[in-house]
Amino acid sequence: MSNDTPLVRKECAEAREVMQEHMDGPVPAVRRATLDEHLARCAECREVRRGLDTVRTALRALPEIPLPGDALDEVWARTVDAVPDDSRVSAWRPRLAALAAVAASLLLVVLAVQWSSHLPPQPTVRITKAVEPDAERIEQARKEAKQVLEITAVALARSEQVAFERVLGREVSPAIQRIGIHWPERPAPQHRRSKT
Amino acid sequence: MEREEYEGAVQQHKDRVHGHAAWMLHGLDDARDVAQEALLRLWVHRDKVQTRTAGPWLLKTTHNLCIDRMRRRQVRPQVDPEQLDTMLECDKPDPSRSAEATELGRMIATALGSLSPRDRSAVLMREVHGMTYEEIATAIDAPLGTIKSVIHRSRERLRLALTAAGVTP
Repeated sequence: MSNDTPLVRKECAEAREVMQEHMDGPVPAVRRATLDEHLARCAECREVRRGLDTVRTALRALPEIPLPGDALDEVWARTVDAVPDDSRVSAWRPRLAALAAVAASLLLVVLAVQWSSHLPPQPTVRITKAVEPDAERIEQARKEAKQVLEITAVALARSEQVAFERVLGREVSPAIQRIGIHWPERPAPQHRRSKT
Repeated sequence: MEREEYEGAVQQHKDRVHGHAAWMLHGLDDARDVAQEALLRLWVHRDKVQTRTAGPWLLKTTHNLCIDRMRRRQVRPQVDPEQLDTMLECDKPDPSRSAEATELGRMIATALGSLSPRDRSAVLMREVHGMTYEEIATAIDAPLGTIKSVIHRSRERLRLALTAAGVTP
């Protein structure tokens, strides 16, 4: 009896390992046959097997605990509802950008026409004597030219922003707006040091 | 993962995530917080997570959040009988669920509380959520062989606990 006990325990340990593997999926036919033979003669291992089946049944019977509806609403509010619908934005943004570009171009044309109408009429008669420059009119023209240039600068800036938005596919943040566009500077010519 | 895919993944996995956190932490308030945090993180990382792996990703995140929460408190969550009753009554409208099944659920939930957080999470992932060993190993960040022995050992401990509680198979 004492000689048999370790052998039986080893068999039982192996049988329980196969039981666990069998819970996770199919086992090779030979191992399955060995397990069945062992279970046929070992009441303790049959008891273990039934116990493991009960554990599995009990765990799988644990109720699903639904996430409360208000908790889910909070998730939506902080995720999908917190950002605009991309599909709708992507639909109107290109059209808006194109419209803005057209509007900016029209504004430039109108301003140019208005400015030209304020210019003094070109002389159509032969000048017989030199016209003395009128300081007051020169100052007035200078002011008007400055105003037109300022308005033109604003329109150009807006056009530039629209172009940026079209390239980026999103609104231009203030940080990007601060980035100016500059032509790359030409590398300065390298002067060879004169040998002394 | 696109916006619509995120919404689908949340609808599909929200209860599983909440349930895992509830059985891990033995508390509905904590479970609610953890589940919300996991779902928010999925939104933040939606560009990196594929729709088909959203489930395991969410359970991995839930596992980590539960472990962090328990570590911060430095105590293992105790099984509160009142909370346990509330959790077990979640599917009370199900007429097929008998009083005997509810009692068995109470015993297995109590037995789960005796496992270490990692072992509890692994056995829940395997037996309740049906995850593969590979998925569990990834979620818990442990070698495959370790996970296999953890689950086998946990089943055996749960069996002994049920036997000790008088459950006859």
